Amino acid sequence: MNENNIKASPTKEFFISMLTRDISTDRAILDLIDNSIDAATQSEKHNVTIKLDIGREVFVITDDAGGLDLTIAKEYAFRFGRSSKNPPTPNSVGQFGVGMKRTLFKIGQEFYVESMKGGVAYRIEVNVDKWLSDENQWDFQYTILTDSSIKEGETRIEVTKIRDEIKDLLSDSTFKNNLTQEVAAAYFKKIHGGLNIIINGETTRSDDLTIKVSQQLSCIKNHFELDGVRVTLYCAVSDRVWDNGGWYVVCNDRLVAQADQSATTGWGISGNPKYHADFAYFRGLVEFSSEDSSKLPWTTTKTGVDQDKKIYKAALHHMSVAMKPVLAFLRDLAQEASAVKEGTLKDTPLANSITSAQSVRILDTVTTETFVRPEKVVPPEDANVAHIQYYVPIEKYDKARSVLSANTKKDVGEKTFEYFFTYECKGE
Amino acid sequence: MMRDFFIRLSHLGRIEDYRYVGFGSKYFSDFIIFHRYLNISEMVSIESDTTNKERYEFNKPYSNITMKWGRSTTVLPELAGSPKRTIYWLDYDGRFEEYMLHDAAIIAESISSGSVIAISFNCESPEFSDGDLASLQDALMKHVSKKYIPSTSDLRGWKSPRTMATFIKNCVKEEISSILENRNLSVESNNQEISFEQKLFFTYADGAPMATVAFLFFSEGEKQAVNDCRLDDLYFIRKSDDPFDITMPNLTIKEIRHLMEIRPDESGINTKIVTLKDAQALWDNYRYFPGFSEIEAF
Repeated sequence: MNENNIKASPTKEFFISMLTRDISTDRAILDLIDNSIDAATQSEKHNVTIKLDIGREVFVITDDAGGLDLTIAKEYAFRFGRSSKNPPTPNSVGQFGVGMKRTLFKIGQEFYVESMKGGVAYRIEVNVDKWLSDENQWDFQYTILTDSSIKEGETRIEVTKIRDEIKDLLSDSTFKNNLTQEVAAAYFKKIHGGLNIIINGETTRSDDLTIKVSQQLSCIKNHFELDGVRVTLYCAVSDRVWDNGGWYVVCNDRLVAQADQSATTGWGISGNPKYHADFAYFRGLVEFSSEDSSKLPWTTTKTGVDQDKKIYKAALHHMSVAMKPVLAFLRDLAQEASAVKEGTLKDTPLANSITSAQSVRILDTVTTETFVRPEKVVPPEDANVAHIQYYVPIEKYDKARSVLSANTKKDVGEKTFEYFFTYECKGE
Repeated sequence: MMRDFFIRLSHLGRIEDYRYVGFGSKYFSDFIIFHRYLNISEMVSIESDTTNKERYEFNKPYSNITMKWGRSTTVLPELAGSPKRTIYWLDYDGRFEEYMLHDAAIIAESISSGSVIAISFNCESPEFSDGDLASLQDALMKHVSKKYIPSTSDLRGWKSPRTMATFIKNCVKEEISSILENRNLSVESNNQEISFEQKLFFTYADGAPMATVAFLFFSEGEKQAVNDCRLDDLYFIRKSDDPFDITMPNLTIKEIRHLMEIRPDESGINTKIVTLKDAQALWDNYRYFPGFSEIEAF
């Protein structure tokens, strides 16, 4: 070694801790499912089954997605990070070359991967502590299996020694429920298309995104293509559920953001209001698809969007334009409801249009370019009623609201007026 | 001045085919000018005072003015979707507030080539403690969103309405810019790319210090037509941070008549009667002086 050399190569320990720290265990497990889906895409297999068995002492994932070719495994699949020489996987969901390794290092101290493709069955076995102890050796070893239960096209990954800090989590029922829900949401398109995901013996049902449509109420659809990425977006209304309102972002059929209600998807920017209760009817879906998954606007953890990507910025413009007429409708709907409450309106065409509309899958619905909606009914002006509007500092408003036990600004306004009137206008 | 500016847009299309969107209030003075001089028929007035609808409808000078009820931010999305070339004049009578940036964003998101956004606002300087940056930043937060608050420690000039006018004008400009940047990413051809240029920037006093800024939007494909409008020939065009300040001279009708007779000969001015400053202010903008007459009471 050159005497003047200064060592700058990473230690394995540092590398693994950096790799695994910023992803939650449930999202890491989804990365393994992504791998199975990519294998199915590559083998052009449909109606694939992915099984997960998860418990305190057990972590196994098996699939019949086509298997992992030994040559690919030897040269690319187990490398940390994707090499530019990797054979392309068109329309893949795995892209960064970290998913499987990150998950297995996060969960296990010992694990193995078995697969059979093209008549070759093999097994890669890893003892993490042993692997970490040799700083110079990064490669794993494989053995060819001659007598194995694994069948052609199948892959089985088992963590044989689970990390102590993960064991409690894997046995926790809330964790398992959350995982099932996340799987149902993340793969809603794939599950609907025939993918079968079984977690601890239970088949996961597709968490379909549904909207309300009728002759009077439509779903907007818009699409464009930019640099090899096709973007399709849908905007409509559904049932009023706070947690479900917002934008859903899908990259190559994989949900990466669910019911987003932040500025990331246009709320509170570009002249759009911030998300609030009146907009809990709103549903938006934006799908990005590309043969080259590196062009998609997702983060490495696939738990959100990369807002700096040009394709996302372009989509955000279209999302913002498409959501405006739907939000205008929802504002009118809120006004209609308060006019009914105040007794100044009897007809409720907007509310009726939602209750009488059919609930349908957003991806199956007939769409329009512009939003079709019923006209609002304007309450007649009441000459005996005066409208008062004024501004006060927010600190004072909050204090008054708390003293009055009021919920809304309207309540605070009415109650303060009543208070004044009762004490100062008696006998007038 | 606004009228003369808009007349020049005829190279982009027939002015009478434009739509005008403004805040007519009860007087509709801008609507009268643009109908009378530009022959614009499709006119929309946005009015947030929904408790006196009948009065506003009654005061409409022309039946072709459509009233749209509600706050500008809720009404504009419905209007902005139209592909029609439009002149928007958002004549806010109050201090600038964040929602006004939203209004500009809503329009910019869908505005057609050849259209204009003009914004008038009160540009009184912010109230803040001398030499206290945090206090200035707090004061500015009442007017614009956080992302536009300067972090500079240079507090010079903030007591002047002109600084405030320039600051707000640039916030609007940045807001529009960021909208167009995203909008242009997915246009089908370069010719459809939309740009905008600041063309007017007036400061004046109307009971309070006021500013008006106007931006012209045009597609790459209509760039030549915009050049053909020769807007820059108008002496009051201002494309930078240096506003065209409209000052009203303090002159009697007799003094005005006299000054017009000798214009532009400065040596003929009797400075014992009128100041050079007043004379210059008159000569700068005499074509746009409001017409009025005095009633002689003797």
